[in-house]
Amino acid sequence: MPNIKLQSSDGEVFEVDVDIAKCSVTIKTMLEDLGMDEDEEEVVPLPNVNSAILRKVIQWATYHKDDPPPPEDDENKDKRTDDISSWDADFLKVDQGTLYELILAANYLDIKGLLEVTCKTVANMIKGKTPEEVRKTFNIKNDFSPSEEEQVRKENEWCEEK
Amino acid sequence: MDSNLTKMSRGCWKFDEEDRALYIDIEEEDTEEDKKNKVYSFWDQTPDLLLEEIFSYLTIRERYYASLVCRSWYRAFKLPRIWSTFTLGDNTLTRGKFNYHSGWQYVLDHMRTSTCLNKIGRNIRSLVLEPMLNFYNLYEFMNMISWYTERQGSDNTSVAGVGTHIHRLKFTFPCNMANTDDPDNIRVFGTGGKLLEALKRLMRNLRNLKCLELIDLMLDNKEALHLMDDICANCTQTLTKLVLINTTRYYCPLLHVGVFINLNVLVIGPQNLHEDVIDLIGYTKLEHLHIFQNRYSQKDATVRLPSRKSWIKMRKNNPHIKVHFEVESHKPTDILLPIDLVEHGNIPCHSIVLDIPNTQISPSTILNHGAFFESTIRVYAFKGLTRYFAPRNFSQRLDEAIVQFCKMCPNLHTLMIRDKISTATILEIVSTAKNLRCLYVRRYSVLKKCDGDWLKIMNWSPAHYQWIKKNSRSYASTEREVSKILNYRWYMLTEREFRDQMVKLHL
Repeated sequence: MPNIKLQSSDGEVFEVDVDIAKCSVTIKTMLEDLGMDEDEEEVVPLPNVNSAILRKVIQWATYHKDDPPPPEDDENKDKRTDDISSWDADFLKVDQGTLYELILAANYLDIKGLLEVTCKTVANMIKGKTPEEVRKTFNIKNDFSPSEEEQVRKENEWCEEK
Repeated sequence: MDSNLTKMSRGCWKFDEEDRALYIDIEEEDTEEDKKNKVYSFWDQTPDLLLEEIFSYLTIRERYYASLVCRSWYRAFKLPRIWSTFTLGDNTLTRGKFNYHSGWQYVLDHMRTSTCLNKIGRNIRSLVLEPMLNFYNLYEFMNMISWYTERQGSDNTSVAGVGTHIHRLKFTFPCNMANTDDPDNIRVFGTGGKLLEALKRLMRNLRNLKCLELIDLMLDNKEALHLMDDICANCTQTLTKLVLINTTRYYCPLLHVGVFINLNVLVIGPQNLHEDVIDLIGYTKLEHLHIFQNRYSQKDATVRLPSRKSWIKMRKNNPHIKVHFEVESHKPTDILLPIDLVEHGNIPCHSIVLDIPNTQISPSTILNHGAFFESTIRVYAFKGLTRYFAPRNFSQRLDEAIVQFCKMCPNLHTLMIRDKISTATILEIVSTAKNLRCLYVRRYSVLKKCDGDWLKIMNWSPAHYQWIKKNSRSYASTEREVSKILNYRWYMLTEREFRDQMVKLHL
């Protein structure tokens, strides 16, 4: 099968099967728009993805290359987070920085399946925690003033089960 | 206790020097000085688009807690798309109320429900009503949505737009709730009366439905015949997916399903099909017809699929239609496929998925499936972990029948086997089924051997025999050879992986 070359932001070049690279809608459109021929020695630059993340993305895409394309109207799906396959769960046992960058990369490269599974993983890290626990888990600063926080509490308290 | 939990929740995954993931518990509490110098993460700068996706997986309460984390997450709470799926369960928007007969109960809190609908009601695109024990809450909630939809903000207490954008309604009725603790002894009862009225009122008010799923309603035939009247009138053009599982308990043809001209997927129980239904479907653009039975379906043999000639006619009128048979039941007494093989060989059957772990499939059943659907079948799967004794003896295993099946069905794309088979058989399967892409087997059930019986029944060339003999000796070499043929890294699944493995039917 023909390969193409992808260049990460830090200059590393990866040679990838075209079909695998095309699971990224961004790359697919790029190839179509630029009319890149598959046998040309052209390199596709990906200035928003570094080599460590690109390596992970390629690993994910290689494993999932035979997945059928995701349905267009995913409104018809139930919003579940307990259906992450064990391969994906294992693949996503990474530090938070990597997880964050994978989400950004999945978004930039437009890979729906990877975006979904990474976001589900983050959702699972939020589930069942209090606001303070979430802040601690993700190391986020509480930038509310006490009065603002009180206001948000009042505004959204209809969400709280009694 | 509390501080332990906090510590645990602060752990994270890191890489060690060899690039392996390790779980790190963060044990130390920050000192005052640490707090001053603390470097915060980037999660508060997550783009809205991504927060939307993440928040959409949280429950209402979890979204509220997340909104209290920081300002940017508070902003995300207000993004419309996170509210696009609304799920009503037994405890959604309820308050505890003491009742002398049954103690504390969670009843729908009307004040909070109106606040909720006023604030986010118009963002709802998909409404999921889970199987609920509290019928009062279900009834009240459905009527509140209807009320908002009918008013459309004509008075000062409600806002307009609630219900207008709802494209999907999923309603599952807890038809076995009389006996939830005892799954082996299910006494099923159906919905009806006031609850059915509220559901019909709701369906009448949702005029832009693309997807309607009604599961386990178990209606009386008289009620079932009028269930879809309003949907037919309002959504003839819009509906693309319709799921009607166990709408009735007994045989009752539902002609309504044939009027949706843009329908793409229909999931229906065999008890609701009829020659006229098949005939009507032939004139639509339907692509996928799923004939679905679950553990509550009738298991007697009175359910018969429409006869041969109606399928032939349907195929002629709509050559693109694909039929998928699915059975899902974890009960010991089991439901069988309603296929009468002489009559139904003309069904364009693309998939057979049997998720019935208590029932052993016989070799003759497999051969029959192969003989009748040889040219069309692409997916053949026995799901779940077996709950019966699986013999090791070649003559009592399914190996021979499965290889035979692969020979008969040249278009086979996905094969899932839960019974005991040997490494030699796996190698024979992948060299027989030329179009096979997905093969799922349980490592635990794979026997490491080259059965002598194969030599007696097959005419293997010496080279082929040598190849099988050599590579059936270990799991690793079998996996390596299969990977070569399938052209990706293939491996046998662990019990958990096998149990969770999804099978894709719309190829």
